[in-house]
Amino acid sequence: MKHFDHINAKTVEEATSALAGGNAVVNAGGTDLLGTIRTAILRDYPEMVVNIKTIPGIDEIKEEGGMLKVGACATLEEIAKNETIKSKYAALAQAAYRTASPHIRAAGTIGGNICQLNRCWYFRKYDNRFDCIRKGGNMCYAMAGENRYHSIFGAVKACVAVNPSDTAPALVALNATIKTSKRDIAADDFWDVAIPGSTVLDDDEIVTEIQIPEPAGKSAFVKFALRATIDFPIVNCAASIGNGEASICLNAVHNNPYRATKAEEAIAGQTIDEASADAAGAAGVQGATKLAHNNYKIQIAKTMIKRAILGCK
Amino acid sequence: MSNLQHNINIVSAQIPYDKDPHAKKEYDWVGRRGCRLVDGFDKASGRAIFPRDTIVPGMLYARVLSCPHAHAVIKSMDTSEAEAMEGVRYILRYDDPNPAAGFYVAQIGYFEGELMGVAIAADTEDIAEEALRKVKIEWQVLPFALECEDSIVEGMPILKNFHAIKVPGMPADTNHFKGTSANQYLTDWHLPGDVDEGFQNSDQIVEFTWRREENISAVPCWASLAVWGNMRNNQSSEGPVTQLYNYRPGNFGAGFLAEIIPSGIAPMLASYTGKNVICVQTPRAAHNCFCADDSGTVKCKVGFNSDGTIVAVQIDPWYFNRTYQSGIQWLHNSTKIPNLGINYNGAYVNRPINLPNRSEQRPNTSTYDMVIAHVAAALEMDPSEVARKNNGFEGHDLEWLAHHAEEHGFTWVDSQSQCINTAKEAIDWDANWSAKPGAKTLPNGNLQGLGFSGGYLNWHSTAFASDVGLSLDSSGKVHIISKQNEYGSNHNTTYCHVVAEELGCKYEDVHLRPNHQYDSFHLFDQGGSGGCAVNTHAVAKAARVLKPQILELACLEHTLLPTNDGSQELDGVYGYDRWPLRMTSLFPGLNPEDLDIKDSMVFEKANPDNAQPLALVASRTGTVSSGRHAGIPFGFAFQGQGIYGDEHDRPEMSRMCNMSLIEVDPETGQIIVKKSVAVNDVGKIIQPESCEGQIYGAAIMGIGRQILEEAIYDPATGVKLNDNLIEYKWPTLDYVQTVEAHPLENELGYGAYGCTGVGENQSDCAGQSITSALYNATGKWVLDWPMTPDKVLKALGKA
Repeated sequence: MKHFDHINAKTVEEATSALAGGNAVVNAGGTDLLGTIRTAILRDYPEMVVNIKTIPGIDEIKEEGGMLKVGACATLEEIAKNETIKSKYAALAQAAYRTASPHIRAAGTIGGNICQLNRCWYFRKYDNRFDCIRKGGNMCYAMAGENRYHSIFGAVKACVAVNPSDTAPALVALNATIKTSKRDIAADDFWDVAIPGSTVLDDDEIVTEIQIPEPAGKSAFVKFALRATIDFPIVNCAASIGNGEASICLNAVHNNPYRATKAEEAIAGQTIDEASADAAGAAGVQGATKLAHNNYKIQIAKTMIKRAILGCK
Repeated sequence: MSNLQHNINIVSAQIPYDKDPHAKKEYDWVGRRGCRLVDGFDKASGRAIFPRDTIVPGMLYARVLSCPHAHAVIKSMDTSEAEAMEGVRYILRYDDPNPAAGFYVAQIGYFEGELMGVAIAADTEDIAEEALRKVKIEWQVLPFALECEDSIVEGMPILKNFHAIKVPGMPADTNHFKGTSANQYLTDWHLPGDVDEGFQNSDQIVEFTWRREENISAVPCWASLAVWGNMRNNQSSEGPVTQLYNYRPGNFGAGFLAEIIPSGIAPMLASYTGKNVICVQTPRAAHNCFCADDSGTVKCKVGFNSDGTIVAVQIDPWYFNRTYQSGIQWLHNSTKIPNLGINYNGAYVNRPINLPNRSEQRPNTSTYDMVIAHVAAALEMDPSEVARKNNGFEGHDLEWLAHHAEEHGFTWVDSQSQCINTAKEAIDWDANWSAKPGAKTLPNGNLQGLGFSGGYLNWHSTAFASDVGLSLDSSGKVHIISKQNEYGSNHNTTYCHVVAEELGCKYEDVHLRPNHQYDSFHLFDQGGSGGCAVNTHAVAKAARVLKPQILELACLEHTLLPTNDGSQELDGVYGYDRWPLRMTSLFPGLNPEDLDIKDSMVFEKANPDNAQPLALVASRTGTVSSGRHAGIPFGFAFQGQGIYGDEHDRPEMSRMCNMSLIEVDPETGQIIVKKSVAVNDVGKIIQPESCEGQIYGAAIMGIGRQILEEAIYDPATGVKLNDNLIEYKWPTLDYVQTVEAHPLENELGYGAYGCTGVGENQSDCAGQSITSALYNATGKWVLDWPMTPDKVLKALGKA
């Protein structure tokens, strides 16, 4: 691993100021960043790593004024075990619990989980072996290559990599707001296809807190992966249903968390049962288009929607 | 006669065909639970030293280039920028004047990730890595082939040269090999019968094809250490490292990997730099460089009668690169099927080098289990009954086997029936089995299935040999002097059990001294549990040589009288000339044959109360200042297992089976393994926790390989895409909800006390049990392995 400068930021301003200097990256739990650096998957190597865990209060979890406030550096383990989150914001607790492994949850933060880079194996191949669109290249190698884990809802900016976060769909379904050092961003608008990132954040902008209004009804998160632990999702889904409204979000099916609006429309106001959930699942994958090797994900996405809805019963 | 020929004759002479005559009815230490593992604490605490952990004075770190292409040749290389870096000590290039360099850092890369081209030794690993990045290479990318059919087309370059071990007799101008596997099973042994005639005489015929995707090999030692002046690496460097640098005895590997890429690089760099060198590899290299040797496609045709009797089997395999096993061997060695045929084919492809160090028998078990499963499915029979009906050896039936067993001192037991009965009871077969596939839908909507796989255990032996020394020190401790690479079979603990058993000493009085430079001239067989079974023979034999010496020592009566002529060795220096030294027998009037040892006490057999501690007996050894005067008891033994380790006329009688209960989620294609029952007739359990641990681990590994594991390549470039622990799906320990291990002890093995090896058995067969169960659950065969959800959903018509 090459050498880089490292600072422990004491304030948000100190962190963003350091980031504004150029070729610097944020480190919270480090579970994504360290592997990214060590395997040299990107074109450039950072000259500075800015640790934000040292900012006082940035890892707090509290409920205030009917709102859950989760600091960006709260660990996934803390979120998964928090009784308030488990009882009122169940989809988030379940999503945090299903992320990775106990060791990674103990280090990984929610801020990192929603800002992580995509997991496309072309993008992640060592030593920048495939200089793809997400690195500033001109080709998506997965589009015509091995794409069994890739998008079933088309490409954005000619890239078919998917967003791998488990907590992201929960935040969308729970109507969260992402507070950053510059602004407040609705979860629906937080993700985008960038180079190489997955969010709308500027280079000198960091997530500071996530706010979630207390949901009216129940919420649930389900995940399909090859192994019960460690794996990133093949498909996951979060749903929040109450007061005749439904909010349902798939992930790992598209570049960004994918709001299953047709499923929401199908289940809103309906009694939740096997048949209605199944119908909503079918509605939710309307418009899905397979690549050469990922047709099976459409069936799994449909099932995940159905089961997330049933989880809200 | 050459020395080599002489050694081969020694090996041949040692092959056991009879049951170990020293097997007993009751044992003190063999099979005892709760003994502390010899190296358990070191491993659990992280204190154990492996090559990667080693730091010795003045050590340099080396890194090797990974080939970025599936097939490419270096046209030119510019290392000037790397050479200019501070801390870079030597750059070993493919065009080094030393011809050996071209072997270890070759000019041509035959698969992506192959270590080749250039190695750099530097003061730190970071410098070596950074220097590698500064090497500028002009590549000529060559055509590549990942599949056999693509490799044998006209114009495809010849690929086979990258294999360290050549297949004998293979033409030099083709990537296609046929008619032989590396173990020469097919060329040396003739399969029985006439398959065409067999098919004509069969009531029914089924044909099917399975494909197994490449699995990575078990990750071997990924740091190779060379101590300067010791021009080989890990295994032989271990002694000097231990002695010169005062390391604790470690867990150094190498084994048969010692002489192949990339293990030879460290010694070369050590010789060039005059420094100790550790060649450190990345996890990526560990993933990329070797693969298991059982990948490819196999067509199978089976003729059988309506009662389940199999009449003929023909297989036509096409393996990637080559396999060490043919695919037909288990049908030959563990059935009475009268007509067997194989048309063995394969082709060299741009995939990693095959190594037989991970479930090497899977080509054979796959054939055996799929033949049994398909016949059972066609007849809607219980597959274990089909296996039972066809049980035998090389066309012979059980009566023949029983006769053989009794002729050679074994007590005949139908091991397979006992394995099947045990497994059925453990998995409640009768309650869960449905002969009609797809018949059981559970309340949760999942489909339930039950599967069977089985075969014989041949891991009582390997094709190698073992020697060991045992010594008794003056404090009463017994030392096992030999060394074996770390294979994870807890062999060290097993040997201590055997020594304690044979000598009658306490387990805690037995120690292993594997890593001392000057007394590690002995070398155990380096195989895993099979090697362990061979080595137990050698250890037991050595103990039987040592024990009479100990008893003789107890009875030794000796007087050393000082002399005046200066010839007595005790004269003068220590002042012993002032009085006579007398060593009286600890058991006056008794002879060694009147004595025995138990719990580290030497006692009179006719009067057990007349006993002396082993430590007291041992204190009489040596010639030191206290005047003790007796030779140090030392036992040595050698054990060989034959040319194949699995000899043609030495039938396997121990059997195993696996029965697994699964659920299939029809909405996601997920296979949920609820319970896997693993029954191995291990002959004799020597170290129970290790035995069971190997069964558990092997079952999970076998199941994981059938459902999860596969190497995934980019079709356009031949680059492996999942060479990391996230995307390459090793099963986690919770992957199978329940594994039950049921070792049986019928003493039908040729190892010590009738034992067999145990390590790989379930990893070879447990996976096919899941394939069988999936068919039972869904009525669909998924024969493109691993059986990932996409394939299951496709079989169910949902993808």
